[in-house]
Amino acid sequence: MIIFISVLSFLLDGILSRYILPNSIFLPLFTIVSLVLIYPYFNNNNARYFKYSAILGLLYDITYTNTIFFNFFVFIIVAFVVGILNYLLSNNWYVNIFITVISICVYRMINYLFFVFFKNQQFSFSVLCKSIYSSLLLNIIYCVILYLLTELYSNKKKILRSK
Amino acid sequence: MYRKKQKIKKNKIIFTCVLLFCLIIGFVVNVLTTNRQLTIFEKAIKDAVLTVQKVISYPIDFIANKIDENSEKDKMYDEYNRLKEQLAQNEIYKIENEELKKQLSEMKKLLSINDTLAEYTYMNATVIGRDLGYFYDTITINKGEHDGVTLDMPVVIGGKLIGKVISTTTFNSTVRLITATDVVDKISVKIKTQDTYVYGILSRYDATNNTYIIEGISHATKIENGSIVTTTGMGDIFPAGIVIGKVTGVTTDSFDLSNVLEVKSDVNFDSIDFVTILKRNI
Repeated sequence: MIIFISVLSFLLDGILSRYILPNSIFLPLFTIVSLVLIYPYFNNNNARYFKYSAILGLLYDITYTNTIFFNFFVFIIVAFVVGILNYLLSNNWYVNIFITVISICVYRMINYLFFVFFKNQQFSFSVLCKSIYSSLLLNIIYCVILYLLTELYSNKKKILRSK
Repeated sequence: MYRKKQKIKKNKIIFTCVLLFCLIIGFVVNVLTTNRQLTIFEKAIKDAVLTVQKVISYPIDFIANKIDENSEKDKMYDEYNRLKEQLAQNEIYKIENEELKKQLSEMKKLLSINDTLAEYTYMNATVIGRDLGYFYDTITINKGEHDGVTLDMPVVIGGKLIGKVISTTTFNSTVRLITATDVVDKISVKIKTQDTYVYGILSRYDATNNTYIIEGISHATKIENGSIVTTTGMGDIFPAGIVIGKVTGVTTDSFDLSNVLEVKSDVNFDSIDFVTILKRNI
């Protein structure tokens, strides 16, 4: 289930980027959403979850952003945030939406801070806000759909996951 | 004694964490700020993933193309008539072009010049991916080293400059758009005034107004709105004569010493599907 969710999200990210305009309010960040959805399937084995997130980040680096070890670290930070929120809150679909929103905000903010402070690029704060709100809608919809589908399948096949 | 040991241990952990954090930050900053080339391993992974994506998106493309075809059919007759009229004019341009080419080659022979700054060959490519990171301003195209694409090749749409190749794999390449706010390689440009050309440097892209900024123009030079801005061919990357846009505003710099020009391109950077890569002959 973990591999299915992450591979599907990873590939959809790239495929949809071809059809969705960069200025639209439907920007995909499905790989980040997958980090939220796969967490319960690790059954509180956080070390394994962080390693998996790091590998996913590295693949994201190589395939989509032409960087190396940047998303690797960012994905670990996002995974850490997901881990804490899952520890504090119970796992259900609206909590998943909340964690997805927080994860997207964290991901975009780290990217923004690095570009502004270390690459000296002139991005205003409104660019950060736009990058966040334009990524929310589509990813929340994707999160809800995939959560319900995986929940149904996991119940049917009796796949173990933390609540 | 035990407390002292515990304190030293705690301090060591904090020190190690801070050191590790600084090292990670330093490493990531170094990776982000240097123009790193992809390793063979990275190229292989990128090619493999993009190939899988191409296979999966093939049926989607097929359906999208069929829908496009159907909507285009309605406009076809009008388009046919318009092109028919253009064709008659093209004959005149063709003869004129041949005559000019002949004259140019004769002059080159006379001056013993092999190539000029404006000579390049074309290669068309399709966009297969856009910037997912939002701040990167890149696109991925379906031509790579296998097709002869190399680093720093200029990329245009309809003769208008949009960016340059920043990394290549065997079958794909990544293009950095010139809308990126950190145009590292400052582009040398010329602005056509009434009879002569004025030279300047394209320094950055103003994302708020969607305009390029040109600096280094003498205060005494009079430049009118609507003047065409093209590349000069000076420097190693961009050939001469590639259109960048038209002047939309002239202001002065903060010291009131030189003119700062605002240039607008009519390329829609939000909707790029096909591009042309230029291979410079010299």
